[in-house]
Formats: sequence, structure tokens, C-alpha cells
Amino acid sequence: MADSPADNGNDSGTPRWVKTSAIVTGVLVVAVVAMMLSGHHGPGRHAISSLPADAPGANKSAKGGE
Amino acid sequence: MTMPPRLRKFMLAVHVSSSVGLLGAVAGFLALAIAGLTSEDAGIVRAAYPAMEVTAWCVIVPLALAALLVGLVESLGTRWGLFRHYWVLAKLLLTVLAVIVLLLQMQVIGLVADAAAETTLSRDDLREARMALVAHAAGGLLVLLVPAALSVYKPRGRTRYGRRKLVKPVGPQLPRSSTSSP
Repeated sequence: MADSPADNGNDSGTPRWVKTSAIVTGVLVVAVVAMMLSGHHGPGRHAISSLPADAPGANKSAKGGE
Repeated sequence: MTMPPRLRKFMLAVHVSSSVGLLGAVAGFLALAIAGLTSEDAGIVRAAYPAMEVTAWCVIVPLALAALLVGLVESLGTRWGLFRHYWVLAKLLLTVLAVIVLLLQMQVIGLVADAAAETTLSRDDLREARMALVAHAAGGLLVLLVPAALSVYKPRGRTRYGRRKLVKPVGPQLPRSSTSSP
């Protein structure tokens, strides 16, 4: 196991694990952005459509909380 | 600037404790989210979501911020640096992402907790938001496991900035120690 920066020092260029991770991350980011643009994802999209009318969450939503 | 060894050890202890504590807290949060979504017992549903809100505000958010801030200080205070090694940079990006998603989810958590505390949620009430809490907790747990693994394996690879720094070394090397990572 590399325990100090000196142990990691003989590398040149970008390692394969970094390239692979970057590709996987890019795909995930594109997928999340696509879902957000299509309205299927995002913190503000959980509309309280199925909340009982007397529920406090419904009131918040009606006041523009969402 | 490098920290004295005793301070570095202390910061490492705080960083490991907050990071591992965060993992455990998110696992507990996930268990409550699943119970709230799937339980047929109204009492469990009513209790689960307010408990999740308390856990999130009082445990998860503080631990996440502590892990991020202490990790920043620790990396900047050691020869590992913040931008010199890909694995340190990956940890930083993943932790920042997790904190941002967590803070964005707090509104949903509060909304569901308020509804659960004041009404009896049926199986279909707030279904999407409750499922989103399970999904984000599970995703967060997976994302947080990656920095833990990176800290243990420390995969090789210096960034371009790190390679430039290597050309003109400054100061003595760190002593070999498995506890010197950010």
C-alpha cells in the first residue's frame, strides 16, 4: 500500500483508473442532467400531488415551497 | 505549510471519525427511509420521517461538513496536498458533491417529516418524495464508500500540478506511515 507521497511519485501521464472514473462520471452527469431537463429528477420536482389536503406539506407547496 | 506530527495525527483522527460516522449515520438514515416507505405500521411511518429529519440536521450535516473541512485542512497541511494526487482530488470532488446533494435534499426531508408528524400518511402519500429519500440515501452511501476505499488503497497517479511540484521538491520527505493520508 502506498503510504506516503514518495511512493506514488514515479508515475507519468494519467492513470487508467482516473480515465475510467472520468468516463463513468461523465456518463452519470449526462444522465442526471438529461433527467433534470426532462423533469424526472431534481430537488424541486417532488410535487406534493398525492399529499392529503390537510397536510402541512401541501400548505407549504401551495405557498411556493416547491 | 506542513502541520506538526501531533496536530496531523489529531486532524487525521477527527477526519476518520467524522467520515466513518457519516457513513454509519447515512446507513441509519437509509434504514429509516426504507421503513417509512415500506412499513404497514402507521406508527412506524409517523415516527420514521421526523427521526430522519433530526438525524439529518443533527448528525449527517454536521459530520459531512466536518469531514469536508477537516479533510481540506489536513490535505493542505501535509505533503499530500489537495491537487497533487488524483485520489485526493477525487475524494474532494465526491465529498463536495455529496454535501451539495445532501443540502438540496434537506427541504424534501423537512417536508415529508412535517407531513408525517401531522397527518397519517397512506402508502401513496408523498410516494415520489419518499422514494427519492431512499434513492438519495442509497446513492449517498455508495458515493461515500468510494472515498473510504480511496483512502485505504491510495491508487497511484499525480496530477499535472503534482508532477510539476515533484520536479522541484521542497522540504524533507514525510516519514512512512499509514496514518498520513488526508
